[in-house]
Amino acid sequence: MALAVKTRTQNTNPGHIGVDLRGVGHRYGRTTVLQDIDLQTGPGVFGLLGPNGAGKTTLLRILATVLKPAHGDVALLGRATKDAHDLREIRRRLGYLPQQFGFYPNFTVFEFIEYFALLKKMPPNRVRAAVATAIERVGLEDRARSKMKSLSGGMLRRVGIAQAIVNEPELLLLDEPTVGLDPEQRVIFRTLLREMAETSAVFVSTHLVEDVAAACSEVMLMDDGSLIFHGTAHDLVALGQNDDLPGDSPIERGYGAVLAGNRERR
Amino acid sequence: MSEHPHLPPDVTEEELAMLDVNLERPWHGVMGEVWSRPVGPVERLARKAFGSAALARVLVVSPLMILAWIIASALVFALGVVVTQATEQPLIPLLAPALAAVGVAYAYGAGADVAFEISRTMPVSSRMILLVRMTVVFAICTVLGGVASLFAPAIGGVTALWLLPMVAISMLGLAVATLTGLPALGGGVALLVWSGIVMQPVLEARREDAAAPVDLGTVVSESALMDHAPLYLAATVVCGAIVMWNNGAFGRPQEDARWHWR
Amino acid sequence: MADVTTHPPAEDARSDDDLLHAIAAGDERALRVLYERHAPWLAVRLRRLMAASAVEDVLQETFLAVWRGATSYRQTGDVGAWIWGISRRQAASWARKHDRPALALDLLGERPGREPDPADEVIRRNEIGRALAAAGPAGSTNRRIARKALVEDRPLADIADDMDMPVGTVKSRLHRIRKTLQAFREKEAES
Repeated sequence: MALAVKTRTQNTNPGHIGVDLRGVGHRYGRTTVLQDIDLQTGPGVFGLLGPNGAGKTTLLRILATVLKPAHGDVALLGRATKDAHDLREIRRRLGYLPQQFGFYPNFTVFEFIEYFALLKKMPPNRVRAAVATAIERVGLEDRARSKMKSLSGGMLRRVGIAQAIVNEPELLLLDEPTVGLDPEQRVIFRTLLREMAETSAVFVSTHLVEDVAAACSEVMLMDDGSLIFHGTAHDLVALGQNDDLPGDSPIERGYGAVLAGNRERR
Repeated sequence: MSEHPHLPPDVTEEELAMLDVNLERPWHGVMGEVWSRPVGPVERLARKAFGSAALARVLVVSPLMILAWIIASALVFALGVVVTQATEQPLIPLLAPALAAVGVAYAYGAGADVAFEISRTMPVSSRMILLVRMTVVFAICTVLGGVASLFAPAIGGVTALWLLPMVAISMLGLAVATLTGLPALGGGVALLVWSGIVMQPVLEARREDAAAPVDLGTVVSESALMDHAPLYLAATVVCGAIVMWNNGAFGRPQEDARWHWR
Repeated sequence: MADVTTHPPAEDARSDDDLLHAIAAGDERALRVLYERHAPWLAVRLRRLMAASAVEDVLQETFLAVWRGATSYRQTGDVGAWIWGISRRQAASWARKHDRPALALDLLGERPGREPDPADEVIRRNEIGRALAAAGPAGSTNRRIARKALVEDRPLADIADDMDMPVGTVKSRLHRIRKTLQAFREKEAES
């Protein structure tokens, strides 16, 4: 429900919202996990699709400044990622939810999110209200004072989302955020994403194609370390009009078609 | 809301419709206060001392994170007191460095393990967090050791010089932990090295005279500590530099984690 | 992502008194219901006196005080008036902090005895005294109406009853009293 129009606090940073990756590649040992990624975006919600091992998580980790790629240039929010000062400024405005994260079992939900809000260098007098806002946005008001160890998997995931959004980040990276969420929660999550689309660049890695179709302005498909498709969800759907293709929905068929096409070419 | 049964007579529907107040913001402010615990005096002091609310919070929650180690250390020291009173070997200054090294490795592991990936995206540097946690470990170890010393005064007096080996050995363990990515290995190596240091004069005395009484306290006697002080200091500095370098200081790029937890 | 809400705020049928009892027992949802019911009109009243962001601050302090003070609520049957009383105090406190003594004066009628500081008490009694004196000479209808409306915070209907006057008359008298007080405040602000 809404009592009045929610006015989101606008970030005062006039810098560019979006990412700029050029020729980015990475390997673990001798396995190439990413090759020649070129990606420029502005604000919006971007879906990252692809089979396991396609490189989605690696790409997200590079965007989250967790990982420095073996080669290529990475610019985030209009800043290079070379010097410590730039990295700090980017990280203040960043939110990241990895696929798995540990948690302090004895922290309450509030304390956990507050801890990371502080580590993100949010102004201390704004932290508590921001944490409460994040908790409400993910629907965990009833569990705000519960210990983390008492939460279900889906709830833990939502805590993860909350810590990622608590600082209203301009760059938000979510790796499989909807795992463990029931359909109603996923709908609300998509609303959350759409709210952020105007003022942030949000990257969502997921294997749930429907999530992508519903909330994402652009979709990227990865396979075997390469970006094999970058367009709108609409475009992907258009590629899936042939009923003979495998898949239960047009977008799934489009996804399958692009993958198959790419593998044929190799 | 279309009906407002609780409106007082002086407030009209038009005024409500034209209201430009954000009613969600105060609500979030209220719940933020309701759900949080007020900041304690220690944390407030730490905020001013560090100039960072984040590091102050790290300080205050560290004991909670390493509670298992605190309890274990208290028990070990207590045991040490009993054994010291029975055997008259100065166990407390021997135990302190060992326990501290284990504590530092444990704190590193606990902190690194939990929410590891997320922590690496924080603007607050992990080096500073590590430093704060280490300081907490040393402080607690010193306090516990100090209390234990009250009950088991060592022969020849206990000096605060055992802080030197405590810091040096802990740094060694931490260096191994950060290089290998295995905190347990770091703690183990530190214990081994310290045991070696402690046993070395004992074994040497035994070699010279098979019937010599075992005096574990040789290494922590005031003279021995003073003699070895430069060595301990050097070890601290070198290992400290390794730890810093491995965590991205001195321009070294952050590498991907070579180890994964659960 | 809300969990199953057994009492969606808009449909909660509990009375304000019931809600306050629940709040005193730590029921956060009850606070939310109370908030949804009363924050809008409180905001309208406050908005006449201060900027939107200040209203938000005062609302926050008000409902925090409601949360903490729910146990001390004595059943007067008019929870709205009780909350407005708290709101007025918080607004006056805001006004004092932001160097607007005239506004603090405008928020007269804080029930003495709720604020713990005795020095404040004296000052406030003086303020109230001076303002009432400005409304009219001792014993006059205007002063009595001013006291009932602004100090005792009684609803119009009650005052009309007490004074044995039609509601409309009381209303227009009050309107003139307010204007007089406004002029008085402006003069005080200048001096």
